[in-house]
Amino acid sequence: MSIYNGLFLQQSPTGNKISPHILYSGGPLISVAITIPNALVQLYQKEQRPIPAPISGIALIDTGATKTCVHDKIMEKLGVQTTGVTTTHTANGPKQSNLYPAHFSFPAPKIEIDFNSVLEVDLSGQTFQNQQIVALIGRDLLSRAVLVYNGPAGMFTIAI
Amino acid sequence: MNDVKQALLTKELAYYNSHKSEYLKQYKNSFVVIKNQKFLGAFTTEAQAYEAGLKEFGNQPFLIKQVVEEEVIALHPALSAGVVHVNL
Repeated sequence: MSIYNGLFLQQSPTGNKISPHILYSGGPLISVAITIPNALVQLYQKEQRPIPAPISGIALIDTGATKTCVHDKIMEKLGVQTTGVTTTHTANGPKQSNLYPAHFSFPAPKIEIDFNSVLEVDLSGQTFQNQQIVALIGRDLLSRAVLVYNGPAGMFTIAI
Repeated sequence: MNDVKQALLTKELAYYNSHKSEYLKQYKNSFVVIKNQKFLGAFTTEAQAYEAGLKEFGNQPFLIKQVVEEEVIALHPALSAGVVHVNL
């Protein structure tokens, strides 16, 4: 099992300190690289086609989300084709959203997850310190993980 | 672009819905793969279904659908409310 401790440092006159406020305002964020699913890698290798470079960014762990989500167009940019459509509820009412297989790498804890399907959603404007949030980690992944959110200490731990 | 992809899978979804009662009798809880109006097969896992679809159709859009009586709804309350991330 891989374990990752997420914490945010804030400068202070006495040096860097863990900031509960940054965790509170930013949420449990983790670096992620999104790429094509393993089955498609194998197909591309067989066909001697180049493997697209991963798209990196930050992901927000969202315990309210049933499925893991990727930001609009990322899977399309990677050349992955849709394998399903599902109804999601947005602020503007029900919307049809595409499902894609995907592979997530979390560099810090060295965790690799091959998803059968993730949901494409529009995360435009969802940023943290000017970085685009590229994914929401939902309960499909969390069902295999232990997540500890320590608000007073300003850190979280995820073990997968 | 999104609408085009949904239109492609609309045909597959319509085919699935027209055969759903038959699939429920034969393949309940399995994952079926459909491309246009071609039923490729039923598979135990979603990963097996994707591999079979890739082998048959290549990297093209195709439908993978779990055969269940009631469709599972994906819930994303923060996203639904448009408050994934707010500045406080």
